[in-house]
Amino acid sequence: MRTQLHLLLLAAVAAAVDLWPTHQRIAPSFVNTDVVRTVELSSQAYVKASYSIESQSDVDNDVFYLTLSEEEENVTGWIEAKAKGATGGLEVKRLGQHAESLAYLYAIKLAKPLPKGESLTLLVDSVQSHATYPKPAFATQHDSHFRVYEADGIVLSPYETTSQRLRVKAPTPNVRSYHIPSALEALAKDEPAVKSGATVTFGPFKSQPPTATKDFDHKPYRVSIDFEMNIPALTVVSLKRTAEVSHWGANLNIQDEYVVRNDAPELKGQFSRLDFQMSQHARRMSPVIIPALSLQLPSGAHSVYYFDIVGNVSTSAFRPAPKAAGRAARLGPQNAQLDLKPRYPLMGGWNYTFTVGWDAPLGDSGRWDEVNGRWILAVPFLTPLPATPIDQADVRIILPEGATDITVHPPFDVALMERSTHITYLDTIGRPAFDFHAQKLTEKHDGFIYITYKVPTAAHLQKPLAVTVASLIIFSVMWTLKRVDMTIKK
Amino acid sequence: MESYSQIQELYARLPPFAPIIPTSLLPYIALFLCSAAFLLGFYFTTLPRTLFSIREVFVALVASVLAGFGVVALFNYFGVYV
Repeated sequence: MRTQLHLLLLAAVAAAVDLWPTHQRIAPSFVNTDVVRTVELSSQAYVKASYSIESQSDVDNDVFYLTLSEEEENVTGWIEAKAKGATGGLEVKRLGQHAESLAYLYAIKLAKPLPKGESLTLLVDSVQSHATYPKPAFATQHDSHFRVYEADGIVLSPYETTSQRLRVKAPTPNVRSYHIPSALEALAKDEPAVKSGATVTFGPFKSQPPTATKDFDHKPYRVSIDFEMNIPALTVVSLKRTAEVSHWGANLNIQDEYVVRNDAPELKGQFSRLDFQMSQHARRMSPVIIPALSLQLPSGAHSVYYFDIVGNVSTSAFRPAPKAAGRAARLGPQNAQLDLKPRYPLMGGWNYTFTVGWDAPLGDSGRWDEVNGRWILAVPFLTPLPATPIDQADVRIILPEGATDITVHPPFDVALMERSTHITYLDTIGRPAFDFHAQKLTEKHDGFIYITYKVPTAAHLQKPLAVTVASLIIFSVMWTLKRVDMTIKK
Repeated sequence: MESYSQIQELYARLPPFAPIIPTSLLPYIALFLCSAAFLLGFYFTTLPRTLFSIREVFVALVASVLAGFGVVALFNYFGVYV
């Protein structure tokens, strides 16, 4: 009876004070005086938005809410924010879908509450993957590569927007067309859309009330731009990284299993090897073809291996990091470069699956904490490929046998973390392994996963002990056999 | 448990990992220990066939311990970093 009363009271309190921002109306504590969104198109879309805001109240003025439409949310893989003129980033927290307006809400925590009447400019950078699509969807191996980018012409915001502009910068000045709907043209202050070189500017637009509401439909205000692409559009469909730590060998082995796909228009007709060889020779290869990849490996990497399902692939070149001396050493370690050439050139829509791995000294990634008697290991989440989205990544870190008191610190919130036991050579009880699963990653997600662990000395000696016991067993078998009479007696 | 930035800052100022046995010595340790274990094993097979002999047990033990460390060093030398 008493617990029921308590639960009833709790429910009443929760209903009365709706605490979660996705289930309450956003307070109009700011006004966007000027919003400029600049989209730089490459094989990913880099959106740099500048929100000039003015505070309207002295309460609820420490968090700025950013809303994304469903189309934007599906493609956005990375958001970071900072205040103009200030150093250091601001915390951006993903809150989820707003119950009323169905827009996706992000909370940007300001460095300090903004008093009424004061202004601030927030710079919000985001990376959109798979935000463009090829048009036409099919092309031969000689054709050019054209893509279409669509965006919301009017920014979705829970605050009133006095003035806003959208600038889209294509990778080449060859912009075939751009489209602005008539509903949006009516909102423009003077010229609705202007093309200058490779940049198309939509706007500036007149003052808008808050658009992240239930009644506002953003779809009639979507703009699009049809442009020529001269950069290879590679996607990593899945990446499976395994990092294995060895204390006896002082080594960190990292192995990456990639499934990559060329996102250029799908190949129409047959692949002609003859035409391909001729175009390579004449150096006039269409940008829809990807003949090679380049990976930047850490400076201490050695013993690199590259194989796929058929076997070892010999068309690769590994250039170890040069020995740095003097000023170069102070600038930081140089990257080693691995140039990979798949067995076949990747035409539009083609996939390739391969495995790359290397060894590096553990001294480059592991640190010894004397105070707490533990080691700290830093493993990069992925090797960034320029402007390449990674749809699915699994990182597995395998610690030495007998590791205890393990703490893990991933660089960003991952979808799933698993702990398992991995058994490999000379193992008895198995090694602790941690799996991190994440989706929709970009090259900005290359932060380090920090893992701290302790290994008692007895655990270090487990391996030699296992071999010792095995050889003792062999000796005792030999001892027994020496005393068994196996001669054939009459 | 520390936050991410705390660990990051701690990592930046700690000394790097250093193994107890330097890795450059591992090939020589592997060669020495494995050959010693092999010779002792050979000697074990030449011992007389008495019912119980403390010498046999002692030789087997020493050979096994040497083989244990020798094989671990051998694995590391060949690139199988155990």
